[in-house]
Amino acid sequence: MKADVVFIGGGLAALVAGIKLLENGLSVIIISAGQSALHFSSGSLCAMNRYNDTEVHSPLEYIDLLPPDHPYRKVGGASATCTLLKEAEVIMRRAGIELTGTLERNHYRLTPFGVFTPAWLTLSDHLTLDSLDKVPYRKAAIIGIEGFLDFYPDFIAKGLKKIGFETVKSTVNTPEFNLLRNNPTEMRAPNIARTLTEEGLENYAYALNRKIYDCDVAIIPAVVGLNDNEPVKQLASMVNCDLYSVSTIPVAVPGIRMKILLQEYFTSLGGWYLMGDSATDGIFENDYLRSINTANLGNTPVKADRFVLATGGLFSRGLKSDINHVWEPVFDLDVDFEQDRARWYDKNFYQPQPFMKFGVKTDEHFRCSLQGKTLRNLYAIGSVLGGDFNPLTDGVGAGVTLASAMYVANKCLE
Amino acid sequence: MHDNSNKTVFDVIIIGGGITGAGTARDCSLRGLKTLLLERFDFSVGATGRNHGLLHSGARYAVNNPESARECIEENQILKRIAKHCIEDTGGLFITLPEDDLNYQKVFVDACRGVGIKTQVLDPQEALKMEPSANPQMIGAVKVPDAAIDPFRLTMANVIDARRHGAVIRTYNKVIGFINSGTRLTGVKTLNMRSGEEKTYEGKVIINAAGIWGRQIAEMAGLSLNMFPSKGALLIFGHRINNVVLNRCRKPSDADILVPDDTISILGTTSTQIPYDEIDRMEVTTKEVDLLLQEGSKLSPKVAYSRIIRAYAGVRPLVAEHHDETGRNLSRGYVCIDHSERDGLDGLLTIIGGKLMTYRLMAEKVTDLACKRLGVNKPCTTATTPLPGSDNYAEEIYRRDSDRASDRAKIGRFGSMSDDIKSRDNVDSALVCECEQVSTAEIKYAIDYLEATNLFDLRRRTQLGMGPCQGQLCAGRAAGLLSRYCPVKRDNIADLASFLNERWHGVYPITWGNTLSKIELTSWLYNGVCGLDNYVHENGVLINRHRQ
Repeated sequence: MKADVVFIGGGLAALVAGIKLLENGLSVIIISAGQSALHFSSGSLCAMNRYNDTEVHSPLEYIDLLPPDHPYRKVGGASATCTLLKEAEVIMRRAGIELTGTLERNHYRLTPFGVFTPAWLTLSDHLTLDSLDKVPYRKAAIIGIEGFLDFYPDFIAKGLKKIGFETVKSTVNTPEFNLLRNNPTEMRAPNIARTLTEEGLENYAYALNRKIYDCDVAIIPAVVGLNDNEPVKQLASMVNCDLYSVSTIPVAVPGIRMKILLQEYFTSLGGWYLMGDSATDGIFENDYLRSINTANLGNTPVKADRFVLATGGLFSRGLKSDINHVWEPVFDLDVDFEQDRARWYDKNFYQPQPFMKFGVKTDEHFRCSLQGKTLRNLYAIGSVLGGDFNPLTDGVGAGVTLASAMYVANKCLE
Repeated sequence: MHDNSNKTVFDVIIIGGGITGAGTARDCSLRGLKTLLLERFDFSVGATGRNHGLLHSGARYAVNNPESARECIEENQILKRIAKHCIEDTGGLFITLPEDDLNYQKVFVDACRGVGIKTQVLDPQEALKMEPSANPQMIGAVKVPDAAIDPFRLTMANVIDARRHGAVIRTYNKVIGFINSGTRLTGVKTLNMRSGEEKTYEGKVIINAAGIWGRQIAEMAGLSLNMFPSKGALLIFGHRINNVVLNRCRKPSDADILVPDDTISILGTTSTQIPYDEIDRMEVTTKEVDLLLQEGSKLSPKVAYSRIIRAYAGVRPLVAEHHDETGRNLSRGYVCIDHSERDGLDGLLTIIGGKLMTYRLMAEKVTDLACKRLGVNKPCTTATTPLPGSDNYAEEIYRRDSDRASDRAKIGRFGSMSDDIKSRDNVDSALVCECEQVSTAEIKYAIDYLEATNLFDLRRRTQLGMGPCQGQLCAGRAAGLLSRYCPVKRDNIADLASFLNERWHGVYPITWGNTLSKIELTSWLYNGVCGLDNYVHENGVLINRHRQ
C-alpha cells in the first residue's frame, strides 16, 4: 500500500491537511484509530484567547510577541499564521461546515455554563456575540428537553441576564424523546440528534413554538444536525423566532458534525480513510522512514514519501505515560516532559496544568526526532506537539493544530 | 416547617456529625432524650469518611492490644447484625510473605484465640484459591472474619434513625462558643455557615464528639485535650482487585491492608505524626503514593498495574486520656471523659479517639454517662435494634431481582429504605452518574430527605462522582439538578467548581497513565467547552473549600 503522504491519526489536523494535499493532486492515506478530540468539541475553534494574563481580542497582534519556538512563530509569525489559518478556514467551509467569526477579532461564544468565552470560529448555528456590551436580542427563551441532563437552563439564564437579556426557562417533550427515555442512559445529545429528522423534527419545532411566548430568540441544546446542517436549517425555518444552540456536555453533536463533514469531503476527493486501524511501528533507514506497519494490515506495510504524525495528545493516546515517563507509542519519538512527576500538575484545577505542554519534539519544520536525530520525512502536527505553550489556557489549541497542519501540508507539496 | 429548636431546652447537645456523633445521637434519641446534633459542615467529613472502610475482625490488634481486639470482634458481630446494608461480609486473610517471620503466625493465631476471634490456618494453595489476587509467594495464611463497611451509609443510617426518634439535626452549623453558668455549661452558640446567622441552644449535657477537632471544642470551654494527629494515606483502585480483605501477618505497618469495597479496592495506609495545625490541609505526596504501591504490590501483585482512581488521606484522632504532655501513652482505643470529674466543669462530656469499628460502643458509653447525669434510667438497645435500611424487610428487598443496574445499586446503597426512592416516570430514572449508577430519583431523594444541599453532600449520600471518572460527566448534571430542585439556593456553578477541585486534590498525586489521559479530557470539558475556569477567575470563586 502506497501514497504520497500518510497521516497517522484522523482528527482535525490530518483531515484539513489531507484535504489540502488531495486538492493539489497528491494521494493521501489517513489511518484513524477511531474517535478524535473533535467528538468532544464545543463547536468553536480558538486561535488565541490569552497572552500572559490578558484576554486577547485580536490574536494576530500577539503572535510576533510569542517565543521563537512557539508553533505560530515556527510557521513564520503573524502574517504566515494568518495565511495558513485562513486557508484552513476556507477548506472547512468547502467541506460544508458553516462558520461565524474572523481571525482579526475574537467573538464571544456562550458556553453550557452560561459563561462567555472568546473564540475565533464558531458553528453558525451557535449563539455568539461580537461584544458583551451590545446585546442584539431583548428576551431569550431557554428551552431544554425534559430529562436531558447535559444542558443547564438555569446557568445559561444566569449568564444571559448578567449581560442584559431577559430570559424565560422551560423544557419540552415529544413522542420521540419519550421513546429514548425507556433506557436510562439513552438521553444523550447524539442519540437525541438521531431522532430529529422529518416527523421528529416537526414535533420538536411544534413543541418549541409553544414555549417562545414573546421572546425574540430561542436557545436550545446542540442536539440537531449530527451528520450535516440540513436539520438545523429545517428547524430554524419552522421555529417562529431566531434559533441558536449551546453546546452540551460531550460527546457532542457539533464536533461530530464537523468530523463527518470533513471526512466525507476527504473521501469524496479520493482520500483513503482507514477507520479503526492504528500504526504499530515503522521501518527506518537511517533518518528516513520507509514504511509503517498497522494493526489490521498484517504483513502489508504502508509506504509513503512523507509521513505525518497526527495522533493527538494524552487523552487521544497520541502520548502515553506511566508513573514516571511520557512517551510517543508508535515510534518512541523524542518527547518533551518534566522528569519530576510532582511537577506534572498544578494543585489548583483552574490554573494552567504543566502536563498540557508535554508532546513530541520537532525541529523548525515540525520534523520529529528519534534519539536526538531529526527524521527527514516524519512530521508532527496537532495536539501531539510539545512546546512551551498551553493549548487550553492560552486558547491556542485549534489554531496551533490548523497552522501546523497547513504548514506541513505546504512542506509536502514542495 | 416551624423551627422551635432554639426555644427548646435539649437534654443533650452533640457536637460533631461523624460516626461517633451520629451514633451517639441515635443512642440518646432511642433512650428518649431530647437530642440536638450540630455539625459544622456535613456528615462524615473527617476521619469517618477517610479510612479503609474495613470492618476489622480485631485480628490486627490481637497481638499488641488484646483489649482493642476484643472490642473489635464484639462490635464486628453486632454490626453484621444491625447494619447489614452497610456491610459486605467478605472475610479476610492474613498472609505471611517470604520476607516475614512465619513464627509470628503462631503468636498471631494464639492471640486471636485468646480474645475470641475465629481463625483458620490455611495452606497457601487454599488461600490462593480463596483469593486469587493474593501474592502467590506467600508462605502462610490465616482466615479471619474481616469485612468491608461503607462509613457514609453507616453514618447516614444512624442520623436517619436519630431523626425518626425525634433528634434535631443541624448540618452546616458550627459551634463557636459555650454559655456558662458558674462552673456549668448550659448551652452552645452556633454560627450558620451558609447564612452567617448566630444562634444559641440550651442543653443540659453537651457531648464533644468532634474527633480530631475536639481539641478546639475543649479549648472553647477553657480546657485542654491532648490530641496527637496521625496522618494515614490511602489509594483507591478503579476496579475490585480482591474479593477478600488482604492483610500482612506481621506487626502493623505501611500499606498492609487491601480492602474490596463495592466495585473498587482500597489500599492503605501510611502512618505519620503531623503537627496539629496541619489537620485541615491533608494532601497525599508522590512519595506516599510510591511507598503505598511498593508495599501494596507485595500483598497483591495486581496493585502494581491496576489503575488508581484516587489518593486520599485522613487524620486519626489519637488522644491522651490524662494530662499527658509526652504523648507516650497513646492508644488507638477511645476515651470517654466526664469533665466535671477531670476538670471541675459540669455539663460537658467528651467521647473521642477510637475507631469506626467501635463507634457504637463509644456512643453507648457516653450515652450511659449522659443518662447518669440526667438521672435517666434507660438501657442501651443499639446492639440489638437494626439500623434503618437493615431491618427484616431488607432480606426481602435483597432477594428482588431487577434488570436495571441503577435499581440494584440503589438497593445496595439504601437497603430496605430503597423503596422510599421512587421514580415517578422515565425522567426520574435517567442516570446522572454512570459509574455509580445514580439516577435522578436518587438525587431528588437525597435533596428532599437526606439534607443534601450541594455536590459534596450528594457524593456522601449517593456515591456520585466517586467512581472511575471522578465526576467527569456527572458533576455538571448533578449541579443542574441541584439548581432546579434544591430549596437551598446557592451559586451552583461555584459549588461545581469547588467540587471538581476537591476531586482533583485526590487525583493529582496519581496523575499518570489512563488517569492522566482522563484528567486532560476533564480539563478540556470543564475549562475548554464549559469555560469554568473563566467563571472561577471572573467571580473570584474560592475553590479551596475542599471539605464542604
